Amino acid sequence: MLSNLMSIGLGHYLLVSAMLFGMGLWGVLLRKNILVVLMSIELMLNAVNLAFVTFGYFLNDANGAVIVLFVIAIAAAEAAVGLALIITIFKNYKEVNIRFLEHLKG
Amino acid sequence: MSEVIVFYFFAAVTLLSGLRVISTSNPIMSALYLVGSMVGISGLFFLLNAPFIAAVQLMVYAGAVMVLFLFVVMIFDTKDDGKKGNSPGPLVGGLKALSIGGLAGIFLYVILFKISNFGYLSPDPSAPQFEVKNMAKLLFTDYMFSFEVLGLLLLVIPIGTVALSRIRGGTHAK
Amino acid sequence: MGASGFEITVNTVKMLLIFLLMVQLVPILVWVERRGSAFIQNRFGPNRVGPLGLTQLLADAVKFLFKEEFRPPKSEAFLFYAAPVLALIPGALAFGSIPLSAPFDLTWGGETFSFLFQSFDLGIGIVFVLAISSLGTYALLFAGWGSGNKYSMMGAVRASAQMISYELALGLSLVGILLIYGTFSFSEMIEAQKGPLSFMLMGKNVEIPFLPNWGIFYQPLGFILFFAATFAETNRSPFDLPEAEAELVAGYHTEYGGLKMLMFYIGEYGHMMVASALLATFYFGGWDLPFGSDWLKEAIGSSFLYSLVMHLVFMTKVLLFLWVFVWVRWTLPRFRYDQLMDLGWKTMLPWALFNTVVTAVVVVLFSSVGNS
Repeated sequence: MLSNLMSIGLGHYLLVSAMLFGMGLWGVLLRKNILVVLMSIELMLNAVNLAFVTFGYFLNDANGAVIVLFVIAIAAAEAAVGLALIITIFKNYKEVNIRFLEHLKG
Repeated sequence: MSEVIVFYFFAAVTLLSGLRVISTSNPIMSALYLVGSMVGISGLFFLLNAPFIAAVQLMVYAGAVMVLFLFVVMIFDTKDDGKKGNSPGPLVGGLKALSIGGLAGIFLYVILFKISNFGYLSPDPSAPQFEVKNMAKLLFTDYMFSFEVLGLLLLVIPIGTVALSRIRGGTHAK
Repeated sequence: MGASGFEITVNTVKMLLIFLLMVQLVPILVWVERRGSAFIQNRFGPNRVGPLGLTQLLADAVKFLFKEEFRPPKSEAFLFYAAPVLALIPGALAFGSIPLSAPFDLTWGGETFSFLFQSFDLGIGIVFVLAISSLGTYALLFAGWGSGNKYSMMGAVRASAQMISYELALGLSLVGILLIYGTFSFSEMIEAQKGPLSFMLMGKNVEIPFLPNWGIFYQPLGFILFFAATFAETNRSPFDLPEAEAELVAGYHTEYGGLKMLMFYIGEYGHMMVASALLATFYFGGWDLPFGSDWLKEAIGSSFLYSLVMHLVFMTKVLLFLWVFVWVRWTLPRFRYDQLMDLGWKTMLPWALFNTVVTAVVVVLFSSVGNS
């Protein structure tokens, strides 16, 4: 599928999407700054969006695009709540390290 | 031909910015690179004949969500994480990296060797599947329930956000 | 639609000309702003260099060019230099997607080609403009953070908070117009606004021959909200808190001088031009003359000349709005920050929602114009 670098097909877009998803996963699992973790989640959501639109385009199907609209709306909501939580934690403890959140255990 | 160049340009922007998001130690630079990545993805959406999705991506992600992120990062004004940026412990870290590698391997295998079975896929650039009217019809028929639920979610989220940021010990402490 | 060499050449030249039109209008606007403010405040304004002080702009440009290149030591080089460039891009891209006149035909080598009087047409018109102008926030954030200066930072945070808040009211106030015309495309909106005011009322076709079929008659409230929100979006007075001199020195461009400062200016005026062009397109018929445009087309004959004349009509409308921008700046005092947020969230947003709901109900009940 990728043998022809000069004609862009399904595989090229999916490869970009997969690599982006991997990067996002790396950020979520291995970074300690909670803000960067949240950003990495956004990165993963973006990768999924790209896959949806790619399949929608190659299958001539509008469902992919509609789901992307839902994902974007929910991602915006998730970012708002996540940031509100982070701000509350930061105001109380002056800390953004995700390891620190272990101290929130009862 | 020009489409190929544009694809590689946007793919490079997306992936390189994405890489910098997780590799830079300064959260502000992370956020800025994430914006670059999102602009790149929106360019790819344009290439995929979905200009409306691309514009929404720019408007919501790049225009609103990331500005919010930048606000918060700038207000925190945290110093660079330095070497502490990555997770502790060689064992746990190695396990995590391995799992990511495994997942990436599965992706790669599927894309390189299985997707080629979808040879019959023939995109029709003039097909109207991403036209706003088509999407709107789907949204208000098949996805009506999800749409209503989303509306409810978008009502609950602001309330929750406001409540979270105003609780005692929050922004209005003492 | 064959992509012949002639077509490519004309389209390239057209794009360049439209970009230059935007950039070249800026010195004239600066002159209008300075002379206009002088007129309003009963002063003379710049009147020494050239007739009416018109060549003052040239002198200013030369001065800007020869300013010392300076970067504060605590700044971040990349962000610092990227910000002025970024300030220019959204305005230029958005201005390029607005139709500035009627499409025209040119004949070359026996073949006739049709061209749009705009840089490019994506078909999603207004959504693209909203998306691109929401990226304008980054220029301010880059400048604010990159300068390494507390005043710049405060100005940038204020500016972007203001822009995000008013984007809501801006977008919602447009929903009414989208409902009425049933399209995102500028050209179709202008097409729908031709001729005298006519709409379906209770199943009867009402026509008012002495009024044009302009959007402002369908969306008066939407017009007012959009108009006010554009002032906030362009960071113009009375919403110019980001650069409130008394509190923040000069806001996000405190550390910028010379040509970099000039680029921020061009960006700001570019935003004003886009806002004026949008106002003219949505609510005042775009490049179309309300009456006699068909007659004019017959009288002129050549479609290229007709396009040029219609372009003048459009620019007249745009310049009128730009004058209103200048006029308001020297008439209304600046808001306090809490007043600004109150106005955005507690006044304009509910009214825009109200406008949306009422328009939707009316469109369903009367299925009035455009897409009826």
